[in-house]
Amino acid sequence: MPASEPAGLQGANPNTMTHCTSSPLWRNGLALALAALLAAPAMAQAPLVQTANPLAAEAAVPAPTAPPLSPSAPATPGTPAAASQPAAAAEAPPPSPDAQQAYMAARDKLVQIRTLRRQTNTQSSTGSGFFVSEDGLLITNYHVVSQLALEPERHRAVLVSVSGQEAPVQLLAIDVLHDLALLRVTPPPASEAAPAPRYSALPLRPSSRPLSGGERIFSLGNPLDVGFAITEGTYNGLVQRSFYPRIFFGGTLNPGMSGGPAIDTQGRVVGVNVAKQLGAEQLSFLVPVEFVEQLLAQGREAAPVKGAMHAEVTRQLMAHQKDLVDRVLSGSSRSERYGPYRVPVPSETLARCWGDGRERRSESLFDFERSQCRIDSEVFTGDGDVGGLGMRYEAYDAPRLSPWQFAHTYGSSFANEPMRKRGNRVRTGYECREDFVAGDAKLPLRAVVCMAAYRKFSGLYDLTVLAVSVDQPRQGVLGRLNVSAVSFDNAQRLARQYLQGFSSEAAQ
Amino acid sequence: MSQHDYPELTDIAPEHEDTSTQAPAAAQAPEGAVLELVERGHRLAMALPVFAWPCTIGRAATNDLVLTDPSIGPSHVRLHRLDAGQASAGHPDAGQYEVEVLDSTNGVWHGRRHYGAGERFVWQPGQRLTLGRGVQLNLRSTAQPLPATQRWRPFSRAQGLLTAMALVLLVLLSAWTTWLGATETGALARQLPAILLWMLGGLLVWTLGWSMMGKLFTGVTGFWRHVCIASVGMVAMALLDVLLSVTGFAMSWPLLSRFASLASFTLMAVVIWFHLRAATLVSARTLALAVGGLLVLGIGAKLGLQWQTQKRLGDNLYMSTMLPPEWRLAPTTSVDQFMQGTDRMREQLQNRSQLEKDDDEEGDDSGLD
Repeated sequence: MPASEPAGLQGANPNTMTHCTSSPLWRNGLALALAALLAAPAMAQAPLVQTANPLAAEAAVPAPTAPPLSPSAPATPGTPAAASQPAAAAEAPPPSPDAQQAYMAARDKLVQIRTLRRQTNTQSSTGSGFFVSEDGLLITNYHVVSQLALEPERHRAVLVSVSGQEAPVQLLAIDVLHDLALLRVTPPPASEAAPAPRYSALPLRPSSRPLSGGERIFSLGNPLDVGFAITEGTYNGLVQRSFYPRIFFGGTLNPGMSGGPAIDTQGRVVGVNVAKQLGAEQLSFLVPVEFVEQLLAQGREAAPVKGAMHAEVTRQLMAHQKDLVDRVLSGSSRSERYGPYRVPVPSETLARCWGDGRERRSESLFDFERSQCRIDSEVFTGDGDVGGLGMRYEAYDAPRLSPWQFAHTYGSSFANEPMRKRGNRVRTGYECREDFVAGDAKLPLRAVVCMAAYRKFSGLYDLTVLAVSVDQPRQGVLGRLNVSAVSFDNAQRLARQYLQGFSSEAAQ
Repeated sequence: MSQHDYPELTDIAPEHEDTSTQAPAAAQAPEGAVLELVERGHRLAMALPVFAWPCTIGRAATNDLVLTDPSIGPSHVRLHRLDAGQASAGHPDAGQYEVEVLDSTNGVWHGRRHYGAGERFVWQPGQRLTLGRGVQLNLRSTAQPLPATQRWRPFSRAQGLLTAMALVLLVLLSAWTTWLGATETGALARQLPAILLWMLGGLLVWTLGWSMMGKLFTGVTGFWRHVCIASVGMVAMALLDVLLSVTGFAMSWPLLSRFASLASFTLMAVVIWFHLRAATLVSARTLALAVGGLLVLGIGAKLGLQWQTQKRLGDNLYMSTMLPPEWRLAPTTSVDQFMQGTDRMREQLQNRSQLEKDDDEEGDDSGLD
């Protein structure tokens, strides 16, 4: 839930301001968890790049004013003869594992993808892409062309080849969950006389030949609209606890390289550049090539998309939420312990958890313990990152406070939970229901269930559940569950399971 | 009406005080009148009993009532009394007072009508006569029934006791709230003096404001009366707040917390009504209407703004009051039952989406993303 998440970060430390200073470890941990998700959209935001980098702005100016070119001729960097060459190269014994060689081999299959605003012809985002077939099929990230997918009436997309030639492209299919999109060079209108242009394509590394850890790979793209570049790095296996498989690339990626290919030493595509970790060095992520194959198989024959793709995005998000909720609900039910309380947490294989607390200090009259778990299942949609799931807990223990004082502090912590009261372009404001609730464990809770509906992804809802134990005069645990973009029924299932997960030794 | 109805009374009254011929006439008709000169702000500057008619008012020293304002003419008006005996029987104006305007520069305002030099009109009792630049005259005849005497008591012992009790309670309440939030040792001792200072200082400033207003409009400050109203009001508001949150938690009635601010507004309006009553001479009914109208407007504006921005009327999304566990009276529901209650949210969200969408579309497509 992108809208509430930064607020959630503040909300995680309701007492920080008044009662304690948060430990740097806690902060770093959170920052780490958040940054990974922010990386993808940040890369898509070319305007940022333009203002930050005067070079990029200059480079952007000639592009719209460049004379229109016939789509066929200039966009054919490789002759049919050249197109067959990479295949031969792939079979040939590996050339020297040199970045220069890799770059020379991949150069003419590489393009920059620009999303332009129709009215002004200015670029609203730039990314990279590459040819995967001789008839002009291109792969890039979904987030590079999300504006084209969701607001086609305002945007169009073009490719710019390494030699600077521009040609319009069409959107064929998207894979929002893995952040991929399949494009095609717009065929020249009704010119049967001219032969269909041929393009040289990058070969995909077959899944029968998995990479081994430490293998050298190269990533290509056009960072920050500066110019085409290749960066060198290593394959480090898959990212742990990532909801969808992602390759951990030990190399540098920069905004603008999104959608570019990552190739092995033989010039075969092993993945697609997608994101990097903010606040970290050489920690980048690639989409494994198997999903490129899937998307190709699905969309190769598809007709170009006309109109906004909200329905398709919704369909994919529906599948995502079903997968997520099934995995969460079927996972081993794990619980965490706070004093006499037990609270539900997602299974360790799914979620990453961080915790901190305050030890007994002489001047303070109460202690607390906090934790936060989240599943890195957020998906970039172009209308915000959705599909994540997170839980937070704050447990209070105040043997030296009076029950009234404890209730006051506890209540202000409960009041301090940020919630979206008003709707925005993407979702409605929250509707809530609250009551005293006791699950099978007979622990009385004050429970609040809030939901908001998505406007354009109809049938998807955000869910927030607050649960506060109300059984002890000087102890309590406050839990919060945040889930974004799930179906109504699944939201209810998750809320039910969550509330049932609370128990206390004292209540039994 | 002819200007020579009263030929024997054309001279100025003081000069006729010694003429014995006029005495029986005065005895026959003993109704005199009091001419009241009123300052702006209802303060009486001068009351002049008049028993001889006609009488003249003006700036010249020869007038019966001499006014010094430069906007008053040398002889501004002449007042006549329409004698019941003199006037023809059944004359509708008999026993009434008539104004003859002499001044041609500024004339006279009677109610909303202006009269210039040479005009004559009947002075309606209770209506003010405005001469020149806002010199106001009232006429009370002896025949006119007096309004009931206004009741007024000095600040009584009982009120003093009430004020003292309210002040003590206020201090205790402040101490209690400070203590509630004191989760570190020594916090209470550190924070309490400042909080008390702020609370009492605020009370003092508030009270002084009302006292000044009272001084302006009624001539008396009524400081202790305002202290009493303010302190009792603050205690009442604090208690109402506690009552609402305790009831809300105990019975699980979140609506009480959602609309607690409206109750506070209403109580605030009552307090202001008390203050206004003590600080002005306006009737309690008028004040109640005015304050009530303002309250309705205020609440309407608050709810309207909230509706405009959030499409909801309540203050918060959920009730966050926490009390010790034994204060919970409402039973718990089972999780399944509770979740069944959320079924309704699907339609609620649909409505909300519609409401917010209507709003959105007004500003959408302006070309600005």
